[in-house]
Amino acid sequence: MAVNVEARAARLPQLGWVAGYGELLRTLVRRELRMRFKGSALGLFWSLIYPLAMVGVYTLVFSVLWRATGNIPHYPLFVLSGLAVWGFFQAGIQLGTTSLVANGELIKKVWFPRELVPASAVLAQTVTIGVMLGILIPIALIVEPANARTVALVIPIVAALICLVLGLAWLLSVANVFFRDVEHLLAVVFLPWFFLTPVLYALDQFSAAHSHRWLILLMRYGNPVTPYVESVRAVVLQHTVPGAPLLVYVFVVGPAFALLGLWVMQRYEDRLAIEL
Amino acid sequence: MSSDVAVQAGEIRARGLGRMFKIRLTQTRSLKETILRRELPKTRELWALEDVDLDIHRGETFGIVGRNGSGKSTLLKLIAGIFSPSTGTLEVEGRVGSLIEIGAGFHPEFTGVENVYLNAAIYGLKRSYVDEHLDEIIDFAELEQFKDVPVRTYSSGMYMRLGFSVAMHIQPDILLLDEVLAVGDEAFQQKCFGRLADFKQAGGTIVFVSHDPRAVERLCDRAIMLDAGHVLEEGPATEVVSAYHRRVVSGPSEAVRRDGVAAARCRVHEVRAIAVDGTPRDRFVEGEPMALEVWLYAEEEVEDASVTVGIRDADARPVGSQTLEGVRLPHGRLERLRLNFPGLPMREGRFFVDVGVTTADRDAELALAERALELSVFGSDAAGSGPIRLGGTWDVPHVDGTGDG
Repeated sequence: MAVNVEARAARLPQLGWVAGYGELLRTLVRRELRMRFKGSALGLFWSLIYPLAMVGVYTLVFSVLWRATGNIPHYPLFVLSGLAVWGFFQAGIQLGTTSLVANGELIKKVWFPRELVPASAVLAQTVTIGVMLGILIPIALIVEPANARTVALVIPIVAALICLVLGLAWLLSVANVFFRDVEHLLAVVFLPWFFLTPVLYALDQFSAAHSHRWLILLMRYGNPVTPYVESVRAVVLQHTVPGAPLLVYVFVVGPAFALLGLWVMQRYEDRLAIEL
Repeated sequence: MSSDVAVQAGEIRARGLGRMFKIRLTQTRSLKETILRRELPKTRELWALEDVDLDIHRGETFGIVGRNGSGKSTLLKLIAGIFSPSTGTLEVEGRVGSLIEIGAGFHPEFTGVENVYLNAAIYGLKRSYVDEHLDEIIDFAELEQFKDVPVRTYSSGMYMRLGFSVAMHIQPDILLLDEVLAVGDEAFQQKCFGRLADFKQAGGTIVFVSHDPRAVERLCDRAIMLDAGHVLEEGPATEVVSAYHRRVVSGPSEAVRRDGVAAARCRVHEVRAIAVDGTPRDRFVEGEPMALEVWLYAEEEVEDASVTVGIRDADARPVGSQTLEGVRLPHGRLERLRLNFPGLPMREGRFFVDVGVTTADRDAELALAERALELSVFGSDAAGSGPIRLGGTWDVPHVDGTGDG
């Protein structure tokens, strides 16, 4: 296994490292998980308690008190599915973005494909979305057995979502090395972003949906995470296959971001060790 | 490129290798500043390494000597793959074990064992391989009792032992070694050298970098001397090391102030000893009048420098030094300073002259020429001893009784 610097400076994103460095990726993910759950016996439990508590609070406020969710069946499951996607999206990007700076010591002193660092941060987050879907899906199947027809589609959709988060994490982590305030900017952006994403509501539920069609379209396709929220919901809760535009978006945008992120990462890789 | 034969495992080949760094003179770290400031941040190009050709063969122990900032560690980091070349080509074939920096590839929060797995994975080894060799690695590092505590609690010696042990057990073809071995205790160093000898015996390639030319002489077959990013000497290690010692004229040295601002570039061009008849010589008789001439060259003007001329004896003990303050060096011109001795103050022996140039506040070293000149002095006064001519004249009572006694 040679260190071939020439090949890595190529113009197109390289994928060869996946084979050679699978073991390192696994080690880094394991490390990431252990760091997160270190020192707390309840480990994974804590990372679940927060979204579950939020499901309870949102249900109480919007469904029970406000009665604003009349036409959404199984509102707690609706929110849980949205939070599963959003939670992974946000945590993956935030931790991925800071990962290069946080692992500066490692990067400065030894060589390995740098894309592994944000990738391991993102992949470690898949555990949470996995467990949340693991709770959600059986319940969804019990309350609506028809969901069994479409639920398998959740796997490729989540895979495409992982691609999207990986791509954004690669892009933003490199940006964060050069401009350290990217991570602070993100922290500010994520809250409004959350409310613009249909986690607590459905876009089609609004009475304005018919008079302002372009606004709904903008909110659906202008926000990269929205199609993933809607698609996961469609196959897990609504036993429907998402429409063609949504499916095309899901399976094109995610991998496209991943390739773009990888390309940027490999382009700037050489400068990382110097900037850090 | 110029490669006639493909590079084999354990070989390193560089052709016209260069690495440039952009030094940012103004530190901009935030997005806002970058957007608001219209002009680009001021940068300066610094070639840490330029036009280096190198052929390191399998089974060879290859030394790199040079002063601080000569490009030694940049070259090592290029070979390790941490940086990529700006110009030229570098081919490194085989697995490269690197002991460049203490604790490289370790995570401070991880235990010794966890770091062994991490480090091995960075080298591309399978988990199962580490499972098999874990005990061996921990044993060699003598960290049996500390294997399950986070490495941040380790001493630098323990760090080094673990790093060395992992690097030796990953079956490298090439091993990059820095000063790190110096951290270990005597006994462990012996163990390391033993292990390195085995490695060499088995056909492993070692690239060794050191400030200590003696270590290079002892360990290496061949060596290069780097100065300001260029290869000045190449050949058998003993020859390169003696060339390094002999270097009369110091190359330009990039001074960096303690506050991080790069100071002006300046070098000691030549140091000569001038006899009373005006000719340069390096052999003198005790008490003979002579002058030391120091030629300085500044690339950028230096307003207010201090120049120190020091003399050491053959055992490197300082004999004395003399400093001149408030020296102004105009840029681009050779300036001559002269230190006159009415009578040479040294007695018999070999002496070395060092010349140092610093800023007025002595915060930054602008240039340093160690052993810039070697002088041989022959004693003429059998009644004296020691390194310096004590001189003085005796006043003795007259034997015939006419004195004041």
